[in-house]
Amino acid sequence: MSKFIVFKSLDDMPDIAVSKARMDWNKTGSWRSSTPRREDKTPPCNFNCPAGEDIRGYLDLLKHGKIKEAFELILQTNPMPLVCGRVCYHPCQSQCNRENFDAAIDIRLMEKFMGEWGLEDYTPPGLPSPGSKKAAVIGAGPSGLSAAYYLRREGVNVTLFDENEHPGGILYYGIPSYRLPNDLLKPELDRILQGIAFRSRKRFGRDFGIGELEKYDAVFLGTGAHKSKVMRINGEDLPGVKSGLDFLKKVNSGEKVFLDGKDVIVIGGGNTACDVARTAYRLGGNVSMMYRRTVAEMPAFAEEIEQLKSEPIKLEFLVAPSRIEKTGDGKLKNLYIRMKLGEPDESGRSRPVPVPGSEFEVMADIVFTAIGEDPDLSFFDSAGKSSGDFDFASVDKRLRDKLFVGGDILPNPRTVPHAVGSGRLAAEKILAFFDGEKIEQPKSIAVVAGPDDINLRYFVKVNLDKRRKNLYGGDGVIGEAQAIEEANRCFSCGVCYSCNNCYNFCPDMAVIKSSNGYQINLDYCKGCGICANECPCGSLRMDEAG
Amino acid sequence: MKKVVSGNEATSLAVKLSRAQVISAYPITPQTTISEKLSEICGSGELDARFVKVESEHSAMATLIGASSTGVRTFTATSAQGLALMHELLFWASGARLPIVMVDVNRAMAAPWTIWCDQTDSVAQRDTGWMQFYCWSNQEILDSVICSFKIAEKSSIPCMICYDGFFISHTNEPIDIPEQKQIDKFLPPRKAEYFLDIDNPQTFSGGTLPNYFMEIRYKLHDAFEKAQGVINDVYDGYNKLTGRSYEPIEPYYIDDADRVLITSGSAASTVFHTVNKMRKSGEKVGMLRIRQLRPFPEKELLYYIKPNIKYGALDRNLSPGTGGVFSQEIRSVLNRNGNGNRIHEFIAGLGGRDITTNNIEEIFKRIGNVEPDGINWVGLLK
Repeated sequence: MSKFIVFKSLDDMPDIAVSKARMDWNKTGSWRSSTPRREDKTPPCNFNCPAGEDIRGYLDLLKHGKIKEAFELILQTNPMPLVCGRVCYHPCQSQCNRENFDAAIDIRLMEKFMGEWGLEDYTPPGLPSPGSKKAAVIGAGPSGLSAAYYLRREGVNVTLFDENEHPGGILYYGIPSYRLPNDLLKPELDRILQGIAFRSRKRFGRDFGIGELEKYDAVFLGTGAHKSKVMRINGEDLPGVKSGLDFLKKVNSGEKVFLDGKDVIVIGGGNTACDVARTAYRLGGNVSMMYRRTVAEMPAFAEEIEQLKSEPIKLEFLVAPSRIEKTGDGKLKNLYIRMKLGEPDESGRSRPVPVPGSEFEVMADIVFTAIGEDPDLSFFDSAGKSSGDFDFASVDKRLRDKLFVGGDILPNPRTVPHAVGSGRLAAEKILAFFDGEKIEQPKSIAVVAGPDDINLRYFVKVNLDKRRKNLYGGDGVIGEAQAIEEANRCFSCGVCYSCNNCYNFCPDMAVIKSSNGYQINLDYCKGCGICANECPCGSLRMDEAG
Repeated sequence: MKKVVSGNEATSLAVKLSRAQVISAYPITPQTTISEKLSEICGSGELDARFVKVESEHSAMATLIGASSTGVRTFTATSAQGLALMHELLFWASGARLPIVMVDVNRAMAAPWTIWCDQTDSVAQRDTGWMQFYCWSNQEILDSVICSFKIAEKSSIPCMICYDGFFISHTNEPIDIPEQKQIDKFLPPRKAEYFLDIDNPQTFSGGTLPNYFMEIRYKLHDAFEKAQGVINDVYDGYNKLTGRSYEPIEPYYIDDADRVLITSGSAASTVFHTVNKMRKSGEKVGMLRIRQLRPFPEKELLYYIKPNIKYGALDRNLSPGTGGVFSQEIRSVLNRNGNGNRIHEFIAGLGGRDITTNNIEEIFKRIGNVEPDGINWVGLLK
């Protein structure tokens, strides 16, 4: 189709050669054999966050200096960024796609910054006045706090019970203060507990029972796992043999414990064992840690193992206790047997097998056991399988239908973010229950954005030395500018961050900006794929269906 | 407001006052301090403009062609080889009738390598379809840059402001700076007749067949013919605002002169002082300072050229084999109009060599004593 324009005079003509007709009649979209589709994927940080935080989302807000909005986005799923910034094992960060490019975003440092910002600069909005629905939350640890917080935000009248004097549970009584100082914990707890009635020194089954729970429309149970596992060896009930968790609780409660010059043995290889060993060392003990597998199988977080190794604590691997005896001078004679690794067990780790005839003796003043904890569900007459899913069927009928559980009672990994996530999920279930609905846990169908989804040409490698100085030069305390700089490194894996590349590069101007992101004008999109190719974060996909 | 600034600072101040919206430049001595200052004030937000960093002057001009096509006000600055590298795009800018404003800080063309001043770089771009103005003071630079935006936008012809590297670019002088609100009134935002608009897609300057190309060219030439009227109007308006104005050719002591030297740029300052000095000893000498190479002020020149006066033209530039470019232009105007005057032609100050008052006195002596005899190289080694 061609058409000639004839000018009759100079005055007819424009000053420059300019097209006088338009080509929009030519709907080039009809040439298309594949179609770009906006399809956000799940960033690996978000996917791996047990608390369900939108990490990419808050980094994006932080990038733009919207710190308050970033903080509030965290609060949508996690009421305790300050705590998690210090004690979470950050699986978000270990899966960050930036790791193999230069270095993972230090997400934990970002969360720590946000948490500290929240303490100083954040005023929470007013809470809705409590409505007619009442919920009891039992246990003021991470899961109970999380459940209580999300229920209260929605206007539920919440009463929070705990057996201890202070709220926080494991955060207050379990985690040593060198990892989580109580003076930082307290203001964050105060913010979470706003508008919530806290009843201290109320242990379910001891100070109140199912009868008292009748006036509540829903009950959340988050009493955790505090019962130290037994070793099933002779001598484990001798006076010098103690629960490591109880020891931590004593120290954290402010009780004076002196271990000066004492020979201390810690049995176990998990986080509690590490905390016990490091705390005992700080109180003056000569500490040895005994673990029946090798360092590779230790269930403690990698970071804690690293820190443990940097302290003068003697580590013995592939040893298991077989007997403890009291000697005449009040010391404890510990008999151990050496182990070797055999076939994998149900946990996937190699099963330790005793080496016959390898018994040996170690003397100690105190032995702390930290080989794991079980939930203590003795307040129910029959319920309480110590492992596996919570057995609702065995709970008293008066409670059963309005009971929700979370935290370490569940067979989840026993971490603070898992507890926070399960508490929030329980709160959502309770709110749905109030509305006569039921939430089924959605089957995970997330498509996680991997390194291949990122168009690395759009990102510049950071100078690692400069970054190290910038982020870690000041005792791990960073300011706004540093946080924003670090957040700016986020790839925004799989999620459109409005960079305008598709809009700018489309040769047919077939990408249209609208209030809810970019739309493709299929009348003109020829399906060339430039938009998807130039998308830095892999949020566009070419669909061969045309 | 009075302030002591360098020539390059005067440019930056003028660009800021003119509210240029897209600036792109590549550093080259002696222009660099202009783009440095402009990038600073774009970075700090003092000027709400996009400063586009580029890898060459060719890209700088290409960037401005793109930006100017969207209807915004654009600026760049360059010197010597940088200007030469833009050469093909200078034609595009004028052919597409884009009112880009550029400062060329005059620097001699290498080889041999040099950073010092002469005008060969800009006069070599005479035929690219840009207007060219030559300044002799920092005040004139500030005023010319501001006025050039208006002239360029009214006539749809790009403008080049030229001034001598180091002699002017790096020398401080007191200047009077207008208020921003005065300039905002004088120079409102650009209103382009044609501009890229995604809601009204158009192709500009696309393939044009022989049946219309010539007409498009004629229209550019015609715009140049009419440009002097636009220039005069703009300076009249500016005069009302600031009390300052400039003529295409500025005369000095010519009413009773028997010898007149025609020149441009910083050399004119030296001629000015020499005229003052010689006048004190009773010598009847005068000067014509020429401000425009394009459009060349033909009518104005003819107005000042009188019988019985001897004329010389001093060029700080060279078209090898022909001589100075201003001399050529003057010869051509006189010839075309049947004016019988012949002029003395002088080449001086190439590659940054000083043009001294002694040189000028000798030039006047020669104009008075001998008949015009081709090109004279001032101060050349024997």
